[in-house]
Amino acid sequence: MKGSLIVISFFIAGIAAGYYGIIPDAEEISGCSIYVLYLLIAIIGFEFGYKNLAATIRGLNSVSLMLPFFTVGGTLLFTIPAWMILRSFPLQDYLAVSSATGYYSLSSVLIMEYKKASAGLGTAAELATIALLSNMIREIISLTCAPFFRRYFGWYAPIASAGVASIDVVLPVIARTCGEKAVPIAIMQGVVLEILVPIMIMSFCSI
Amino acid sequence: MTPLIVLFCSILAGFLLRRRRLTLLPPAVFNIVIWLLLFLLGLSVGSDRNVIDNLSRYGVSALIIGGLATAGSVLAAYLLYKITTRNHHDEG
Repeated sequence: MKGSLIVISFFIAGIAAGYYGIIPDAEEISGCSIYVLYLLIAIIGFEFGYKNLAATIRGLNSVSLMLPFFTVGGTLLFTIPAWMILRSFPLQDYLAVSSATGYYSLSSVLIMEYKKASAGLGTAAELATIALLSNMIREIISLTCAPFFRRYFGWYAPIASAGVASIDVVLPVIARTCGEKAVPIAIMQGVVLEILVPIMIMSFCSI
Repeated sequence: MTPLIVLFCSILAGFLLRRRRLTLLPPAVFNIVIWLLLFLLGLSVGSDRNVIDNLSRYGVSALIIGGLATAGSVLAAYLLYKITTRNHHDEG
């Protein structure tokens, strides 16, 4: 919870600074941020290749590698009704938002940078804000409803609902509700999604 | 396209160097950069009156997307659970 509080306070501090015009050259500053983002992507990719790619390939035919893809599939499928209710943006924008599967910090800045050029600063900020909030909501649901999911939707459900956070924030809750046996599966899902999420967001944003 | 190329090249670089001993950047660096970018995102939100005026509407959208996305994943996990426990009864 501490991590999400820090994230939301930086976001709110930025809103306040922008609203009261404390930082005058806001647009100029955010012009450089794309290079910072490239750096972040490079760090994510390098760490995955260095630490996790070999282990992921070794686990290829196991159930634990199928789970992240079920998690993503369910999320993307249920984004369609959300789009049909809301309809403020095209479907691929909502898919970019939901495909974060709880990775609220990275997804919001990725969507902001990616959409800024194609859709304009205002639309990009709207989508990024929705990405931040909806994925935080996902984390809160996962933290609070894990026992309910375990009981009515089986052993994998608390892991799937946690999305990418099954490797860190929600892991203790998963271990408590599903037992220690669930921990390697939860970690595998986190590892796979950490690399799959930026790929999906960037793909949906460039459609 | 460029960020995806950056991503795949860095995965490859990491994979090729996986047997070397490297000191990786501490996770704190990553977090600080993310926080900085979120501050910048807030800055763009705060300086756009149109976005500020609609903040409550985004909250409702976020609730619908977040709720439905989570439900979708939970149901997909239920499906996987049903498929795998039909074949062998060792889990759960």
